[in-house]
Amino acid sequence: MHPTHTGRIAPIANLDLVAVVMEKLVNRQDSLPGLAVYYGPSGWGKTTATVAVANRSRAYYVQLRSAWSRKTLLEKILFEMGIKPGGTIPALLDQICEQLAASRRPLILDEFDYCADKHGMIELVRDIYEGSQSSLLLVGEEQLPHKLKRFERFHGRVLSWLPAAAVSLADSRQLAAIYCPDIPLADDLLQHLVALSHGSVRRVSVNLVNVYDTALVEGMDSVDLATWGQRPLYTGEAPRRHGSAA
Amino acid sequence: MKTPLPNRLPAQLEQRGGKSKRQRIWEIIRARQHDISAADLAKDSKVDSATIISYLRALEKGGYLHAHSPASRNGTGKRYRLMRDNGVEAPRLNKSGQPVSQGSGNETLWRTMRILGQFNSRELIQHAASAGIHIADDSANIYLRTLYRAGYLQLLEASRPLGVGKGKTLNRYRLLPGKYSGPRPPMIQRSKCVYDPNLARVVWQEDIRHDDD
Repeated sequence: MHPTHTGRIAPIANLDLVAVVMEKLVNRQDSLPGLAVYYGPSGWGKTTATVAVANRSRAYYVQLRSAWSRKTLLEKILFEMGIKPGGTIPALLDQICEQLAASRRPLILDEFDYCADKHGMIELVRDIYEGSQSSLLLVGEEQLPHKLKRFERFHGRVLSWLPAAAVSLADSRQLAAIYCPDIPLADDLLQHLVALSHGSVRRVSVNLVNVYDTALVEGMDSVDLATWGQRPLYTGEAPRRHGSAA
Repeated sequence: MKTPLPNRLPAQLEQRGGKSKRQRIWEIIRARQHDISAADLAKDSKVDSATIISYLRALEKGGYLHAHSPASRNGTGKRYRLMRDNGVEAPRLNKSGQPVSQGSGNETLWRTMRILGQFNSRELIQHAASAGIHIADDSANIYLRTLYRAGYLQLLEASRPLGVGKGKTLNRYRLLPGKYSGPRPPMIQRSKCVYDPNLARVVWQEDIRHDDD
């Protein structure tokens, strides 16, 4: 066990960005819109930032599925609120709006892409928003803002568009503290991991775990790019075939 | 001073699963909105009056209730109206009306498990810390181990030693998708059983060890 690692999690750029916007949404003036859209490629730390926001504000978190109907969405939100569902769609909507307004806890809809090409679903989310005047965070892939553009009435209500940020060298240092604790890593190695990752927090993390395991097994006290040498790293691409393999 | 809530019929919000005494009291307060008294609550909630009175006091001090008519000499108690709605959840307050945070550690672990899907205890602790919630290694480990034994978690990677003096890796778990019973974290009770408030039942109990086993 490593009793020393109760320190803070990597405050990666994404996390701060989203937390700041959420704070702004939750404490906004009544007349301002309270919708934010957080989008970016998978692996770019959206989940990490979302978890932090959810925990900080006790937000209701719902991950959408493609098969969901309007009614399913409402029922899932109520499930997350721990409320017995009331029956018809309008009754469910009333319950959700009332709970959001009264509790002042935000609602996070993850994988919102599933919603974004269905007119009825978009209207329903707008109803939730209008009915509660609560803070909503919609999370999705890169194409999400583009998809939402089709729905002008919805698009105009979004206060903040938050693109997920690519992982930086500073982020990688923070991540190293979690995934590769107690083994100092040189900046040239971290720089290399960041370059390989194409912006993905996840790939950097996977490689840090990889470096950590190798360092422990091979007894390295610190690792730089030269020590690491030609050992394989995860690039997110399918592995290349080895020439010598039979 | 906050203004009273608008005059309208609230949508009925009833908590799913098991309800504490305070929760039962709160739901009746929310439904009535005005003209609430300890005697009426006792009649409708079937909760003992000591609990009702102490909760009403805490709610008044916390600004959730306002006493619009004082206790009178002919034996009728204070009458209250709801000033601040908290939604379906009964406000968690101490005697002086301050919010209590006890139990928020498990709630955070449970929420984080649910969003992440796969995790080890260190990752959960770090995620919680990034939201300013500090959870001790032991509490997280015990909670995970108990949830695993109670059938909520699947063990993805068992802990393995890293070499002499290097410690070992942490167990990696997955929250089984069908096992997310709701937003309230399952509770480990003193009698070594797990109570799931979402389902309102004890879902796991440690095997009883007999002396001759």
